[in-house]
Amino acid sequence: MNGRTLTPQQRAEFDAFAARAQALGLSPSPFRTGTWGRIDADGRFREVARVDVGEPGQPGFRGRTHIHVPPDFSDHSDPQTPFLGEYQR
Amino acid sequence: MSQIEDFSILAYLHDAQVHRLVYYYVGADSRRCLELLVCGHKDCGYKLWAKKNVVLTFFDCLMVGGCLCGHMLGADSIDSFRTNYLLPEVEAKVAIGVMAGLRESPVKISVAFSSGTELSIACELVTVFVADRQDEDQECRSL
Repeated sequence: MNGRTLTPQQRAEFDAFAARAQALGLSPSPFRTGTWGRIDADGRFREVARVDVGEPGQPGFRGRTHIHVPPDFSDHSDPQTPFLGEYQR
Repeated sequence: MSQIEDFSILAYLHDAQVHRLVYYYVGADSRRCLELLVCGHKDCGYKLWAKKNVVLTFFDCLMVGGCLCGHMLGADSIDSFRTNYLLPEVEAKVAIGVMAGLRESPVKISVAFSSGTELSIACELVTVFVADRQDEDQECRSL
């Protein structure tokens, strides 16, 4: 996390997101905390969901916790936004 | 093109899509430069950069180090910049150079991408240029 030290609350936000991603069978990126996806048949990682935990004092979405999920992956979604397939099982 | 004095402005590049990273040589004495071309996110919060091609140039690099993660398919984006910070292995190399008599760089900055890519750069200055879409044939409209 770029040398960043997380507060307990920030840690909890990562953990909550991780629990949801794991429930959908996603795997964590080996190289970036908060990024979840699948390793495809070609051995490459396809990102499916990501949480960006906000850093207090930073402007814009850098300072606000948000998630990226399909179908509008590039949008900044509220952390409670369901993943594709979540709640539909 | 303008020189960045207040690096806190780079926080607005969070989630900017990364298009290009180029290490090149410029000028009569071939100073080392690193260029990062990104597209500002539409909701970045800084009107001048929203949905624009933004070119950051790290000029006269003393040292660039880190790790480029190429494991991920699909777009990569900027996660964060951290000023006055170098990854420990880069800081150690800079220290060796300075001990040997090299001039220390005034700018020390690290950038993290959402893929996990992390780069630390010790350089003379950083400039920013907002490019016209005609100038930079990149896909900025998808954001």
